[in-house]
Order: sequence, then structure tokens, then C-alpha cells
Amino acid sequence: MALNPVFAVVGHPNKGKSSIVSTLAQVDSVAISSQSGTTRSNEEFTISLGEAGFRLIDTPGFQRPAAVLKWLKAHANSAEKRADAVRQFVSDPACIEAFPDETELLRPIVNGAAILYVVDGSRPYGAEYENEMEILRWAGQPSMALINPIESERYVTPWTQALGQYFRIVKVFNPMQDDFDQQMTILETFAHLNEAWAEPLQTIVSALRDQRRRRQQDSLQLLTKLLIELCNYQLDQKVLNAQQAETLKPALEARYFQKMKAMEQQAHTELKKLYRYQHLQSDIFELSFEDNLFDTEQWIVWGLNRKQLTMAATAAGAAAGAILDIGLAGHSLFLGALGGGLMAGGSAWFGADRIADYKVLGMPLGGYEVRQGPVRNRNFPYVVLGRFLWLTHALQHRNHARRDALRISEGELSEQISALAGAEQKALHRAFDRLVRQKNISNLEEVLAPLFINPPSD
Amino acid sequence: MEAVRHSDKHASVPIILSGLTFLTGFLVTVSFLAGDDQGRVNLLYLLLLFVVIPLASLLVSLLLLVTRSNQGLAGWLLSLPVWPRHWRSHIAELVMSPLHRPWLFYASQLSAFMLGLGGLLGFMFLLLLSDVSFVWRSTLLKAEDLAPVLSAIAWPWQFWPEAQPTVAMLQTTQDFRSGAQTNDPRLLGEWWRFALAAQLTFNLLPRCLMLIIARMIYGYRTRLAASESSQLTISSAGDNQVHDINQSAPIVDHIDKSFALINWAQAPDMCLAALHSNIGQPDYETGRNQVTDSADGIGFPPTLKPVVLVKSWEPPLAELEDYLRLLPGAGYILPMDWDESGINPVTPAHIEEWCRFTGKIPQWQVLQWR
Repeated sequence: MALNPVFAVVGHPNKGKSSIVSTLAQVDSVAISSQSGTTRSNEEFTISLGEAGFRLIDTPGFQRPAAVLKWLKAHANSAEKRADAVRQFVSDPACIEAFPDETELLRPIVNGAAILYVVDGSRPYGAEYENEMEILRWAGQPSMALINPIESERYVTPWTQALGQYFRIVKVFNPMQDDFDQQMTILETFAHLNEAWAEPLQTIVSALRDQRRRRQQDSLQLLTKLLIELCNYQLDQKVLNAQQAETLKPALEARYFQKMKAMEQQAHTELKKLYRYQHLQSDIFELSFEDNLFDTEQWIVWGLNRKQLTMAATAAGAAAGAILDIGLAGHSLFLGALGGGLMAGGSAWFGADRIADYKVLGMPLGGYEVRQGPVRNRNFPYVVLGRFLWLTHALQHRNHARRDALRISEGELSEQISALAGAEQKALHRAFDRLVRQKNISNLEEVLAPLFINPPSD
Repeated sequence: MEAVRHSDKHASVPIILSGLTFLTGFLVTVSFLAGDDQGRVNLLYLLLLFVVIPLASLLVSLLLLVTRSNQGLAGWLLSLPVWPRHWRSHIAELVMSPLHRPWLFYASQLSAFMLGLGGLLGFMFLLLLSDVSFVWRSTLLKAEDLAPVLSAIAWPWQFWPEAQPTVAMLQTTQDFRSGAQTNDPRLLGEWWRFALAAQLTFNLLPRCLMLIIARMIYGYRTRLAASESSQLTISSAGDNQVHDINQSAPIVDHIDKSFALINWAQAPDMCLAALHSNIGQPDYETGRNQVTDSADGIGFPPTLKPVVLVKSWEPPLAELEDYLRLLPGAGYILPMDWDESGINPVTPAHIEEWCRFTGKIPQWQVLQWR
């Protein structure tokens, strides 16, 4: 088994090293800031699948390259001693104290990490970078340069020419904007630094592609769950009388709306986690509920309403009658079950009100139940769908290096639905119609699936 | 899966469904085998219950397995609108689970197996506590016609001769409504072994086999889902934080006295020309390499105020800080932005960065002319 590659991402401060690590490792926990010197110590990210994998190390930027090169030159007077001089520099306590950033950034390199040198392609090349590149050349490890066009690609050509003199491979990579395929291409390019790394890197690239496909399926399942939960959610509470029920209405409404919003927010958080966004801030305009969803109904023993009590009594009566029938070995022609069911059911239906008035040990056998929800507005599932699809699309096309907040909107859902085949549209409308009528839908996931194939327009 | 996990709630539903189907199987069999007023049970109807229906449902199950349908007995039962409200939302949650299909198939097989088991228990219950008389009736068929069919059904349990049908048994147990056919009522019970073997062979054993297959498929899919979710791992070590730096140097737009220009940025002539016209000619002008290589490390007359010209877009490095800390007294940092087309205004973000940096050096200020 080949040793898994390690890459140290190095360069001048504030040139996007942490952004590159964040995007390639798909983590949004890397500290990224416009302030230089945010990365003060090495931060290592391991991407692995079984035994295959690779490590990316985010390092502090060079701070005293001229002085470091001067020190190195003083300790190696011929080419074969240069790598040893760098090793000596990293372990020398005086150097660690005088050059904390350089000793920190060079440590993984002297331990075998390949070099990914990062520069900003939107600013002109400067001769002061040559000290850094020279130090890295002295380290003698496989190396590659990444030009990060932070603001523009204006100076990519002169940078390519300059970097070509120090690095065998020079690539342009924008960690904020390059899409997933471009990210995978960069990972595959890393394999050119050492043939033995091709296998573990290819394994990881394949796993990342699989993961991306699975995420789509998982998003679909999250959405299905959310729609079913939201459309079926109902809040109820038992009270003694109708007046108490009316008093409770505002509190119940508030709790209901709060819970509905929380459920949607929870699904969005899970979706973000699915795409490995743990710190992404987002805001969203509140769900609106136009219907009057408040309802009051009388209940009788065990919380059953009149209909439920009648059904339960009928079933119990029929069962008792059936036992009698069995005892008579069928001679009764099932009249026991039939009669038992009818009698018990009828008694429950007509006597329900009286049962409700009874008290046992001071506890009433009946009362009122107030209910809030479920939603009946036919537009509601479309709103939830639009917002979820928008967020999914945004996350799919967002790079982990970005730190700006998301403003979730409903997007252009009507366009997306229009892009579906006629049968798919009908199935969707039918499914949503069933949803707001709280009917079971076994194929909701299949109905929603085409919407994940046709992404929303930007 | 990374987000939606298979719920533990799945475990309770098959138990409830199995309980229901077990009870149904028991009650149906007991009701059926109770027979007529003389306790007689039509053997041909019994074959329908113990052979034909189980075989037909087994075929349906196989078809569902092949077509990967998510229905089946459990699916059908769960789709009935009879469950309480909190159950319905629970069922709806189950439906969207990634393991829903294999789970539903497993639950269906378990329910069907328990239906058969309930039937078997009902059968044994009646055999023990009642005298079941098996007879058969037909206007068109004779015992000789029926014997080959029953022998074919009984082929799988040839090793059990007592459970094999014979023409004699058939003749003895043929019933005519007009009158009894046998003098020995005990002969009417002889069919119980055949009925038991038929139920075991065509209902319980294949259903048990299907249950094992369904369990294996479900287990395999569960393991697969678990392994897929744990395939790719990304871990990190280290903890860099964005630190808020509060100190910030003041910005001035002019200098009052003579100054030395240190061209740290190695800026081109157009920048120097702009500097001359805005803040005047320096009394001394030098470059970065000259000052750092100078004997005293300062590189200009100490009586002059230093103005250090830097590239605004480049972050300040510690080597500049080291140099500034060598200098006595106050000084100015002058960040400038330029390209081939000329001098550009310095962006607020860059100014801010340089103010933060200069704030660390006592008495130093940032110079930006208007």
C-alpha cells in the first residue's frame, strides 16, 4: 500500500491558503479572515476512505523570508546540504524562537509533505516572493504552485511565467468560485507530483463524487420528511369547557407557529450539515399561515371523540359477540358478533354526551379538545418546497471557503415545476393536494425526485 | 446516509402488525374449522385456506421481491386509514426512510408468517379441544378424481405415510347432505395430519424461508447504508481563530518636517512622483535592500522622520515590523496601490489592515494624502 500523500499549503500571508484548504477539505471550520496572520499554527485536515486518503495542512504565512534565507545560506554552502540546512533550521531552538512562522510552516515539509505554494493572481508579481520560493526549493520536496485569482485573473500570466521557474506544475485555482469538477481536477493534479499518490488520490476523488451523488438523494429524503411533518403537524390540548378553549387559542397558535418554524429550521440545519456546513449563517423570511387553523371538539373518556368512541365500542362489542359465536361453534351464524357490535356502537353514539358529563373520583369523563393545525392551505407545501430547493441548490454550488451568510428565498419554483414533464407535474400537484388533506403518500419521494434532477436557475 | 437515519421506531411497527395478523390467523382458522352444526369441515375449503391462498400470496410476495415494489401485506395494512393520528405521522415518517422498501418487505413477510402461525395455533387448538370432522362434498367429483390431486399436494411429505391421502379415506369421508356416510366417526378426523402437513408445507415453511430472505436483504441494506455513511471521513487537528485586533494607528494626510523615504515596496517612479507632489521631496531616499543591508540596520540619517512606502495590497510582514522597531521615535507608513495603468486609491480594507499593523508600533502613523 502506497503511503498517503500529505500536502502543506504554504505562501505569503493572506493569499488564500486557508480558503484553498477549506474548499478542498470541504470544511467551513477553517479560520478565514481578511486580516493577515489569522493562521498562526499548522492546522491539519485528513480526508480518508478506509486506508486511502490524503492530508492537507494549512500553515501560517512567511513573515521573515529574507532573514530565513540568509540563515540557510549561512548554513549550507553547497546544493547537497540545502535540505539538511532546512531540517536544521526547523529543529534549532533559536530559530524556533526567532522565526516561529517559518519553522512552523516548514516542519511538515521536512517531514515529507509536498508543497502547495499559493499566490494571488489578481496582484502583480513581486521580487520579494523569490525568497520564499527559494526557501521552498531548498526543502527539496515535490512542489506545485496554485495561483488564486482573488479579485481577478489579471496577473495570472506573469505569475505563471515566474512560478514556472521554481515549480514543475503551476495551476490556477479559485477556492471561492471553482466548481466541484474543477476541485476534483486539482486533487487529481496532485497525483502528478508523485506517481505513488495516484491511487489514494483517485480513491478519494471517487468517494467525493459518490458522496455528492448520495447527498442529492439524502436531501430528497430530508425534504420528504419535512413536508410530511409540517403538513401533518397538529397541536392539541384538553380543557374543561368551551370558554377555556377560547382563552387558550392565542397561546396555542403561538406554540404551533413556533414549532412549525423550528421544524423547517431544523431541516435546513440538517441539510447544511449534510453538505458539511457547520458554521454557515443563513436567514429566511418567516413562513406565513393564512388559514384559521384553530378548532375545538368535545371529547369523551380516554380522549376519544364521539366517532372514535363509537368505533371502539363497536369493535369491542363485536369481539365479545364473536367469542360467544366460537363458543357455540358457529351455530349462531355470527349473530353474536353482529348484534354485539350494533348494540355497543349504538349505545356509545347516543350515550356519548351523557358519558361526558359523568365524573369518576371527581375526574370528568368528558371535556373539550382544542386543536391548532394541521395546515390546509394548498400553497403551503409549495412554499416549503421552494425554500428547501433553493437552499439545496445554493449549498451544492457553494464552496466551503465562503464565509458570507445565505439569504434563503423561494427561488423560481414555478419555473422548475414547469420544466417537469406533464405527468410529473400532475403527480406533484396530486401529492401536495393529498398532503394538505393529511392523506398518506407512499411515493412522495419519487414524486419530488425530478425536482432534484432539474436544479433551479440562478 | 449522512442526515436521515433509520429510525428505531421501525422496530415497533412489525411487532404490532404481527400481533394483529397472528390474532387474525387464529380467529379465522378457529371460525372456519368450527364447521357446521355437526362440527363438519369441508376439506376442499380447507385446502383453499391452507394451500391455495398461501401459495397465491407467496407468488405475490415473490413478484414484489422481483419488482422491488414497496407494497405487500405490511404496506397495504399501513395504508389503511384506520390508524390513530399520531400513528399516521409515525407511519409517514417510516415511508420516507431510505430503508423503507426492504423494511416493508420484511414486515410483510413477518406479518404473513405470523398469520400462518396464528392459523396453525388455531388449528391445533381445535384439534385438542374439539372433534373436527373433515368431509368433502361434490356433485361432479368422485373420490377417484380427487385422489391424484391430493396425492400431488401430499408429494412433499411422502416420508409421512399417515398423512398421505388414499382413495379409501376419500370414499369414507365423502359427505352427502342427505345422510351420513360412515359408521365410524373417528375416520372423519383422519385428515388432520394431511391438513397439518399441507399448512406446514405450503404456508409456514415457504413463508419462513421468505422471512429469512427478507431479513437478510434488510440486514444487508442496513449494513450497506451504514457503511456508505461512514465511508468518507474528514477530520481536523488544530484550532486557529480569527482574533480581533483593537489597536489601530491614526491616519494623517501630511507631514510637517523633513523626512527620509524608505521605498520598502520598490515602487516605480510614478509612485515616487506622486509622493513628491503630495508631500514634498524627501531629504533622503533609499530602498529596502539598502536599509536592511546597512551597517546600523537603519540606513538613513536618524534626524529625519522616516516615511516607509509599502504595497497596500500586500499584508504587512514581521520583517517590516522588525525593521520599524529598530527605528528611534515616530514615523509614517505610506501604503500605495498601483498597476501599469497608474496609481489607484487604496481600498478601505487595505487601509484598515495597515492601520492595525502600524498601531502595534508606538508613535507610528499611517500616511494617506487626500
